[in-house]
Amino acid sequence: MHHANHFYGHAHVLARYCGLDDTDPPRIAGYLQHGWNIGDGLGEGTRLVAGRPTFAWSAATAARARLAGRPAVVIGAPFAYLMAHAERVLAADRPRLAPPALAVPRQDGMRRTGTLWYPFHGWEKQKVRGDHDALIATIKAVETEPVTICLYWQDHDDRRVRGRYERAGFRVICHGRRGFKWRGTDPQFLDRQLAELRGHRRVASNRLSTAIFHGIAAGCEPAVYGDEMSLAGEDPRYGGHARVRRQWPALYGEQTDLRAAREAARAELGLDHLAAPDELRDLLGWPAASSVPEPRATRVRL
Amino acid sequence: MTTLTLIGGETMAYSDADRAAGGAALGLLAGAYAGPETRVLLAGPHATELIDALADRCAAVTCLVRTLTDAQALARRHERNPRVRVLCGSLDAFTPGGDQDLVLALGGLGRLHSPDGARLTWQSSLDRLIAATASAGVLLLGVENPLGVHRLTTAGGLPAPDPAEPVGHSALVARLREAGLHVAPSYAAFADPARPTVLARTPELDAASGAVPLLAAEAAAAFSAVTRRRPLLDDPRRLAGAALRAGMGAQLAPLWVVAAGRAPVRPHEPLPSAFVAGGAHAAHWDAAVAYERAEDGRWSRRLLSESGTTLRMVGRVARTPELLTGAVAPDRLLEEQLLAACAAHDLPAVRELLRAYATWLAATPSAFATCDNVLADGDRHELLDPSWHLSAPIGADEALARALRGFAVTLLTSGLPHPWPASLDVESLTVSLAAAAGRPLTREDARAAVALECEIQAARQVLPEQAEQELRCELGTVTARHTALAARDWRSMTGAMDRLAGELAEARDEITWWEERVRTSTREHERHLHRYRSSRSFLVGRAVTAPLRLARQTVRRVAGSSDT
Repeated sequence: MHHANHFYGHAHVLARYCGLDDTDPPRIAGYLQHGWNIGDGLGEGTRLVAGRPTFAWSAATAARARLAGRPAVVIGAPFAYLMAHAERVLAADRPRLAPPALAVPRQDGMRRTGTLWYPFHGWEKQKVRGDHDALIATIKAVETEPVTICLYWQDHDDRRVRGRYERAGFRVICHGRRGFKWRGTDPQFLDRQLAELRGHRRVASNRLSTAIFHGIAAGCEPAVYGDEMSLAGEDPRYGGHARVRRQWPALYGEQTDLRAAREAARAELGLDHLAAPDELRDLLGWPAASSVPEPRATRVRL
Repeated sequence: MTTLTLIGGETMAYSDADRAAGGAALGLLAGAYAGPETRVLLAGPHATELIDALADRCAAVTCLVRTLTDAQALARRHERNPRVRVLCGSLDAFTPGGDQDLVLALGGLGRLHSPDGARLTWQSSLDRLIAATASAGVLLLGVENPLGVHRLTTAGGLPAPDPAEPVGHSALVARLREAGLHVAPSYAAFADPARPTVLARTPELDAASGAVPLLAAEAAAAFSAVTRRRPLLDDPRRLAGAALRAGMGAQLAPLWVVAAGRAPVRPHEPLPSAFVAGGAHAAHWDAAVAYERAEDGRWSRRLLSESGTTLRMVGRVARTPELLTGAVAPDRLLEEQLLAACAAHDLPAVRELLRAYATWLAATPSAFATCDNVLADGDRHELLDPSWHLSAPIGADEALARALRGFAVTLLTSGLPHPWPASLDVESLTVSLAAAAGRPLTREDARAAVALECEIQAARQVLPEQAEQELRCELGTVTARHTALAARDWRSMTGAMDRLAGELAEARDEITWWEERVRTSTREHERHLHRYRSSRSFLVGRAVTAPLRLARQTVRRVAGSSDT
């Protein structure tokens, strides 16, 4: 029911996993966490309906939401459901449940090369201040293999920003639009991201963010380095970026400890909390699927 | 020929028969102290089957009752047994002979006095009974606990406390020792103090004892049987379980049964650590069992020889009491573990418990392997009571549906926190639990489980057809608004009321939310419409189509006037 549930096509991915129509996902009876964060899983200033739970990615986020006095249920991240769904499709050869446009993303074990780099972004109402040229220089100094830069759609549309990265010789991409108020959502945002991540050996950014955790889950080696840039109107309640650095020091650096990173991603994306389709439908307040018999929940391998 | 002696102060026009102490469990305990040479005094009202059993096996039985009605009934019942003697009157008129090998006062000392006799204090009454006991004899005394679970949870009135009565189990034992008696380890008894069905020796009730899970389950079953439909403050099963887990089973038991004597007390046959006789089911199914703790701390159960050992059946439901004999795992009940995981919103733990359980159940499907009858530890599962079975084999899905629906009902009606949306009904929750267990079921499977549940419950209670239909109706329409089925207590009811109030507030807030959304969208649409109407292309279009509109209006006007 909250428009943020549709961001990045999250509701669409969950509907697909549940065997429902993923072009028009039913309303979620609660608020779905739409990005990794160290707060209570909500966007700032969200008008919540009393009693409707927050569907959190991780146990820690849910616990923080409960401390804030709101019901919360851990279901894991939609990206993990996308991966679980893709694995199920591969395993069971169920074309009816297959992702519609992008088909099956590239399998692990295929040759991965280069780094997928996500420069830190704000959103439609937040401005990021930072020096893109300095960041480009750092990336060039660190990365030894070809670099793909993935920009937020606003930065991608901004010819000046995009041009800087293109002139530096990087391949520049955008996964699609996040959407706002149920408009302009690209339901294949996560499919594109998964496909790109599986083609790269490393995932990197100048701040620890959702994309880094998605990258780790998709089998990339993570790195977080370079100018952190500053964000206008950052919510200080949960300690901001300084807190993130203190909490996950192992993920910072040009090279990081892959084991620690995978453990962190497992916890933060709630990979142990994924629900089976029947369970997820009940939790989200969705109707039962049409007569398609459902495979069981798949564990995401890390 | 039985003799009925009126000793003085007898109570007229009254009977204590409906509150007589008895039941199979107390009968077993008393029987352990009674041999063929034993002379027995039963002081106060005792159940007829208890007196019958003693009259059959003992050398002499004296019944001391205060009311004439009860005395006459006893005399009539045993008129052909010369070993039975009935005394009628008040305890103060009773002259103890000091020759009784066994003195039973299982209903306490309160119902030994008459309005027409002097009321002795608790201590004087005790002294009188001790005086009746032979030097090597045994006094078996039942004392109701004023702080027992049954009293803490009742919403009904309570009798005024007797200030002279010892309060607390240790105070009781101390008073008996002060009277110069040797005291054997007492038994804590559940659930109805007049007819307890679970007796456990108090030293076995410490929190570290491996018997806690099974005794908690037995006590819960005992309370289920006696608290149906009675007004309660709280669910006694929950309080009894919590007391046992905290090692306070002895302090909060409804009744204590103490054996004391002037010489060290020795029963004729060794007594078990605990025994259970009768209780949760109709008498047809009764099978008395004894629980024993071995040297290594492990617990085992054996069927007592007094119980019938033949297969019994009602419809498809059958019980083979012999299967009760064997070792008992020290693990916790699956239901208890699931409720704890649900309360902690720990869905992965719920899934792990359910998956292990469903895997085990699929290998050995049984309609009776329900969450409240399975002891679980990781992948190890064992039936707490393995004696029940269905005469026809049952599918794994059917068994799972019954177990999960049963748990869903417990969860929704207990008022305990859980991670699912409040709007979920029993069938949806069953489907969800099955999905969590990795063995998908449909809503139809969940609904079909009602028939099996009803069949089993009705058979266990040996219900008549009308009552069975009522039960089916009740089981089929459970919602979260219901309070606990077996115990409708004040706490559950206020909990249900709070839930309803919360849901109403939430529904109102949702309506407000939708109203806000409708208002925003309407404003947005109006803005779009205004922008569209003031656009140049729209104005040009209007100008171009103006003659057409004018023509249409004219035609309409002309047609309208020609009609009239």
